[in-house]
Amino acid sequence: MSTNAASNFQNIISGKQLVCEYFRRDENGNVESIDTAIDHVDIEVARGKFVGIIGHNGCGKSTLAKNINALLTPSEGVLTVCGMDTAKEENRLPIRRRAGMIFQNPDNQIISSVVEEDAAFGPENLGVPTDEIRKRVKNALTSVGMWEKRKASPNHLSGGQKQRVAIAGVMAMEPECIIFDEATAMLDPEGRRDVLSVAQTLNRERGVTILWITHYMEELVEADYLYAMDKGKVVMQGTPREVFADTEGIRKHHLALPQITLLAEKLREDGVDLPPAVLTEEELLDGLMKVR
Amino acid sequence: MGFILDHLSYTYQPGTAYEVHAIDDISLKIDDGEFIGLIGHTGSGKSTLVQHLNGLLKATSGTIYYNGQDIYDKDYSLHDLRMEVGMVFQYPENQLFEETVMKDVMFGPKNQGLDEKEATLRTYDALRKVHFPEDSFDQSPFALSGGEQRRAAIAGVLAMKPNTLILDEPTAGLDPQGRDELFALLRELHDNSGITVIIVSHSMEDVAEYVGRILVMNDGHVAFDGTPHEVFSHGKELSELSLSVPAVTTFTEHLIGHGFFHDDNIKPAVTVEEAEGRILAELGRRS
Repeated sequence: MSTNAASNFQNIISGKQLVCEYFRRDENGNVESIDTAIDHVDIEVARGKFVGIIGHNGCGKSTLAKNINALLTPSEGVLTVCGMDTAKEENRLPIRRRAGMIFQNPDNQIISSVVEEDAAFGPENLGVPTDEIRKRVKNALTSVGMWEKRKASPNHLSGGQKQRVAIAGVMAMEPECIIFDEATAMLDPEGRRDVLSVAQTLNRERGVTILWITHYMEELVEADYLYAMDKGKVVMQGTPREVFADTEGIRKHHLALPQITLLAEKLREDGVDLPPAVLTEEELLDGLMKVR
Repeated sequence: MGFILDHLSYTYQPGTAYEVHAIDDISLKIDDGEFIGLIGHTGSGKSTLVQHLNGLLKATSGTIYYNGQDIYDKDYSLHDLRMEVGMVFQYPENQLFEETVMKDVMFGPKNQGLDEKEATLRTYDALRKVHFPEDSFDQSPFALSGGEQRRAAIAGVLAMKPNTLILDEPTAGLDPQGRDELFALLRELHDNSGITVIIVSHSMEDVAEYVGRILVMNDGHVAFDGTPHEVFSHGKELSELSLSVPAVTTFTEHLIGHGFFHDDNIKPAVTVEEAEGRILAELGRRS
C-alpha cells in the first residue's frame, strides 16, 4: 500500500510486517541462537482509540510495546509512530515525547521525592519554560486525581497512586499516545480500577490514544479494538465482542474470557438461549431475564 | 496444631514521627492443613503479618505459638521454624541465582545440612511436584519462561519440606493460564501433602475459587475472617476497604435483586461454576 505522510498520520501507530529478533551470543560474541519475538506483525492504531493487546507471557506483547516507544527497533518491516519512522535515530526522542510509556512496577518509575517534582521531570528535560511546566503539572496531576497529593512523598503512596503519578509525568509531556505495559499487574483491586479509569478518561476527554497491554480480560471489555498475540504473531483481532466470541481461538492461544463472558459461554454450552460474546453484566442479566 | 497469634502487634519505626502500626492487636488461629487466602489493599499489613509467621519480623508486642511453642522463647530455634515454614516472596524468580535449576533448588536443602544424596533426592522430588519439565533440570534458570522460573523458585522452597507454605502474590504478572496452573498446583500440594498453604493475593476470583478460608486485612486489623461465601457476602464493606468481590458474585446478587430466583434464601455465587449451577437449576425448575 502506498503511503504518504498525511494518510499515515491518521494512524498514531502503523506497523507493516514487523519482525523483531533477539540474538543470543556466547562470551566470544558468536550468535548462539536467534529468538523471533515479533514475527511479521501488522498493526494499525487510529488516533483517539483505546486498543488492547493480549497474549500469554512471552508472546511478544512487551517487545511490541518497546518497539512502539523506539526502545527497540524492528529488524524487518517499517513502524511509524505519529508519522515518524522509529528506525531513524533522529526520530527516537520526538517519538518518546509523543508516545509515553507506563511500566508494570510502580516503584521503578518514580524518581523524585515529591509528587509534583516527579511529574515535572519530563517537561523539565524537554526544556519547557517554568511557567508552562507549572501549568502542565497542575493539569496533569488534576487529570489523574493526584493534585491534592502534590506535596506528598511518593513513598507514602499506594501502588495505584504511584502509577497515577507516573501517568501524570507522562501527561505533562503532552503525549498523543500512552502505552500501558501491564500497568495494573501489581496493584490491588482499587488501584487497578483507578488506573484503568484514569486511562479511559484521558482517552475519552482528552483524546489520548491508549495502547493497553494486560492479562486481565475484564479491563478490555470497553476497548475499541483488540490484538491477540501468540508466538510473536497477531493471531486474533477485532472488537472485544468479535475476539471474545471466538472461544475456540481464546482456548487455543491460552487466553481467557472475562468472568461474565465465561459464565454466559458456559450457560450457552448448557443450552441456554443467550447471544454469543456477552460482555457486560447488564447484557447477561437482560438475556437471562428473557429466557426465564 | 498450627499457629496461634496472641494479641500480635508490630510497629514500624516506633517512637518516631514515622511510627506506623502495621499490625494492631491481631489474635487468630491457623490450623494444620488449612488453605488460606490473605487479602487487603496495598499497605493493609498483609506482608508484615506473614513475615511474622516464619520469624522474619519480631512482634513489638504479643506472641505467636507454633505447634504449641512460643516462638519468641529464649530457647526456641527460629532456624527450625524457618525450615518448617517456607516463604515464597513476590517475584521469587528474581532470587534465582545458580547456574542450573538443579543447583538452585538444591541450595536450600544443602543449607539445611543435608548430604549430597538426600539433597539431590529432595530436589528431584520438589521439581517433579511443581511439574517442572525434566529435560530442563540442567538448564540455566535464566533461560526459562516466567512461569517456569516461578515454579523453579517455588521448588526451591518445597525442597526444604516445609509444613507450611506462604506465598506473597504468587501469580503477579502471570498470564491467565499461568495463574490457573499455579493455583491448581498449590491446591494439589495442599491436598496431596497436607501442608498448610497461605496465599497473599489481589485476585478475588482466584481466592474465591481455591481457598477454604479468607482473611481480610485492613489497617493492621483482621476485618473479615471466614469462608469465601461469608467474606464475599460483604461486597459493600469490601469495596470501602479498596477491595472487590468476584464479578460473578456481584452479578448473582443482581439476579437475586431482580427476582430471577424463586428461592428467596439463595446466596450469591463466588465462582463461575457455582453461578452456572444455580442459574441452570432455576431454569430447569421452570421448564
